[in-house]
Amino acid sequence: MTVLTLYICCSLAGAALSLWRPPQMPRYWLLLAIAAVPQLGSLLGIWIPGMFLVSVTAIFIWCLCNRAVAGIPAVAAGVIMNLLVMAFHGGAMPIHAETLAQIGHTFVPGTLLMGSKDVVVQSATLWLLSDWLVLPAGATTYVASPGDIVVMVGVIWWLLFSHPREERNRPMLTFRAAAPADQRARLIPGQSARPALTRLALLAAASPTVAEGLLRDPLDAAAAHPHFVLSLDARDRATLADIRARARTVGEFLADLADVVDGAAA
Amino acid sequence: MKSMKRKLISALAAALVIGTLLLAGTAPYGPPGVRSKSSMVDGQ
Repeated sequence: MTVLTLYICCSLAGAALSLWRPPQMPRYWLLLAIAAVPQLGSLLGIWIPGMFLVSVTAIFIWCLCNRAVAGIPAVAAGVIMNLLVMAFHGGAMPIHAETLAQIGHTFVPGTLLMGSKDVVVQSATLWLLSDWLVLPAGATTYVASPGDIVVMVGVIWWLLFSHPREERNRPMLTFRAAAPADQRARLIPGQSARPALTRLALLAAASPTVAEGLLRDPLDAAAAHPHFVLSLDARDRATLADIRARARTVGEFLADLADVVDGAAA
Repeated sequence: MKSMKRKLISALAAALVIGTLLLAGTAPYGPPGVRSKSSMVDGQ
């Protein structure tokens, strides 16, 4: 089960890499699991007719759904390369008898190799996509296909260059209409003797819509802007009513309000 | 602490994705061994 060991080692290396830099997680895991089950079966020597087609369909849809994730298009290309050549050999990956002879293994063509998805062949359709890249790895030797290499490149690409969605979409600047409670507590009303009216004046000066609303009907303005919390006492309300009665335009309303806030008017 | 837990979960998920993806999409040859004679391929 050297191949399974290889998969586990790659998974652990990927996990270590994702601890340093969490990648963007692909969606639709179930499709990937469905695609993997028949392949696991073939590794364990269980061949069910039609399951290869299920595997191809599931992984194709999974790649299509996650094509926006960095590295997945490369993974898809590698998988397609592998599955294409496997489709010509009944769902098994062809490996030349000569390639096996190079690494000291002799098998009769037509032999299914234990612990891998390979079948020994004398000549293969699309041989360039079959297992022929001999990769020594310490005590053992692996034979990979170009598709395997492309998949690995895609996985590394995904680990290094994909970013979690929330990090990528984080705005550079956020606008908050209502200040948090602690921020409000730190606000200094200033030198005005009418702090609530001061805030009202600042709001009206900042937004012509608010100013116009206050001039026409303060209750409607308050209902339209519930996020601006201001509590006016009886004196403030009387002053506001007085200003509204005098002012004909928004400009006059703001000017009178400013006078009251500055203490120039009662 | 919460951040570390989140990172560990992310790493575990990444390992699962990689493992499943390799299992589903790659077909390298590993150790020698004969399982059976194939009846569906003729080796040609």
